[in-house]
Amino acid sequence: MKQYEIRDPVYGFITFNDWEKCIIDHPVFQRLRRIKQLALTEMVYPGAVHTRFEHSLGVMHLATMRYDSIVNNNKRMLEDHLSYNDIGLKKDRQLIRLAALLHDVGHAPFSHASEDILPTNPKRNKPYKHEDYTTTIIKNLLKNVIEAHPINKRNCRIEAEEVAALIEGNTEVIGESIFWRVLISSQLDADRGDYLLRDSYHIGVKYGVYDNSRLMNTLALGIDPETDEVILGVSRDGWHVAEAVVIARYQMFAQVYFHKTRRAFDYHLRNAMKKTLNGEKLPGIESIEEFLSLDDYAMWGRFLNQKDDHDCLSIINRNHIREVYSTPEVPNQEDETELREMKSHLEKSGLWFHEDKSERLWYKLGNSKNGDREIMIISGDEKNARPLSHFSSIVKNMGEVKQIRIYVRPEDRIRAKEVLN
Amino acid sequence: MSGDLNHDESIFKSSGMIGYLVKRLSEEYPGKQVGKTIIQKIMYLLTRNNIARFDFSMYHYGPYSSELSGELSFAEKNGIVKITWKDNEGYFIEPTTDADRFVALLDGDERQAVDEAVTQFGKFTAKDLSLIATALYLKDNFGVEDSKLAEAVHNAKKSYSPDYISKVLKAGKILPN
Repeated sequence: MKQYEIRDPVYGFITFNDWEKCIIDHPVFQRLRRIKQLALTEMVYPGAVHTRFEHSLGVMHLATMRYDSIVNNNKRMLEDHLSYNDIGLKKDRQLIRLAALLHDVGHAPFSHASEDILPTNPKRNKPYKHEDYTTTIIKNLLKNVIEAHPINKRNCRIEAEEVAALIEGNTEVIGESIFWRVLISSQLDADRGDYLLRDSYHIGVKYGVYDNSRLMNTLALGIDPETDEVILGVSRDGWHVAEAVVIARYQMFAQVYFHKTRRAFDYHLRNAMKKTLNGEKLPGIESIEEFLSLDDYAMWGRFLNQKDDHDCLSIINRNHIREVYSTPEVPNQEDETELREMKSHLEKSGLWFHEDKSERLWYKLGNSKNGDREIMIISGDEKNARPLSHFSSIVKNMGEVKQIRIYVRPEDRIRAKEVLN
Repeated sequence: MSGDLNHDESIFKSSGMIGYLVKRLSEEYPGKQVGKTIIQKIMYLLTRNNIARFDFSMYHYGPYSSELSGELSFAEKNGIVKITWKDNEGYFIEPTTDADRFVALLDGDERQAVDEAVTQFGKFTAKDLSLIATALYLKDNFGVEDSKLAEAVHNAKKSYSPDYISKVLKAGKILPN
């Protein structure tokens, strides 16, 4: 089977077969070249101009490496508890590669920054998630390129529906293979495993760098004592690298994803996009072609044509709202009382303000799409699981970040500071 | 003029609800292990009824919310619940004397909904609640019909027979008797 390889700044080379190449070459995947991984983070860190395209290739590569390591080190457990044989393991390896490759294919322009303007899903009466677009694209637009390739027909017979099911968690379609969703979305998944390393590389920080080789070698399966389910964890020898991953995530959150200026641009971006879209919302999944016609480039074109709008101008001229107050990262009741007082002062002064909560951020440490179960440490022949916080006093003492910030218009900054002091 | 978020809701509201749920479970079922799995699955049921507002995703261990997991950690850091770990048993979550200060953030309807959830589902083990929550997630998100629910859950959790799953779903009034 012919293999292709391309250069990657994080892993050196990423390889893929002809079937995967056809998927990568599809226009809906190529669109990811035009969606930046970190939206307008480049306003703070100029190197943050990498795209969902290279991240998606990286996730496929890393998911495969982690899968191979888990299978090599835990084959007996996979056979005994999840009824795997070699054929099943080979098929699921390919299924995971495809799901990892395509997990972000339904991203809106500017990645997560635009998720607040996705329309309401009439079936659930809740806003769509980017995963809804991803699975719609896989099941419809990518169905043929996934199912019809000779490599698939001869070797795997994977259906587009199965790839989507692994991403959306539909056990009716993929049954016990749902187990591998932990490689797509969890504390030990390939998605965050890649973006921590890749974002750090491009931005020029070291906060997200962890010992990926060591983590890979120490991935282990264990048994959850509350449910007797098989769980993915890290062997006892590797608990320090598990701790390093948790710290890396916290540091990247604090220093990059929740950076006060970056968040200010998320605010302007959301407003600017609203004003350039019909009904102030992105198209729904029933208008998938229209949705796919929108990328960062298309939105920039719209912003440049709306120079009378202050949010578009804020982005074009890099003149953003300014933070004038913030709570501690883990606020207590007294902090909440003080926050209310600060808002009351601003209201009485007639100053406009914007309140930003870390819990509204996709990258926040406890985001459901990230499957943030505490990393479990696996010990002994019995494969007993214990939480990482049992070993690491650092992890034990880390709190859920619920910081809240108040921003005002740039011209009001000095007055607001006076009001709040 | 203020920004575009709801300024009135306390950041401790969800922690207050967790605290109340833990308190009510310990009152109704003294001695029962209230671990993270039980909290996750009952909160999923409360989210379905629009009482709690967490976002859940499906895993092999059933619907799971990292937001809720983070909120539980936040509740622990603020002294609303106490969480310990016992080898071979799992997490034990207990109410604290401070919890009542935060429970006051809940209105009467919210407390009643938690009370009802505790009455209907508190008697189940973590494993059975996981089966119930998985069935409801499949029904809500993928339109699995009642007649196929037990089989669909079995498909994901082969260690439980369709008959056993069906029995649990009937006991939880997810399926008619």
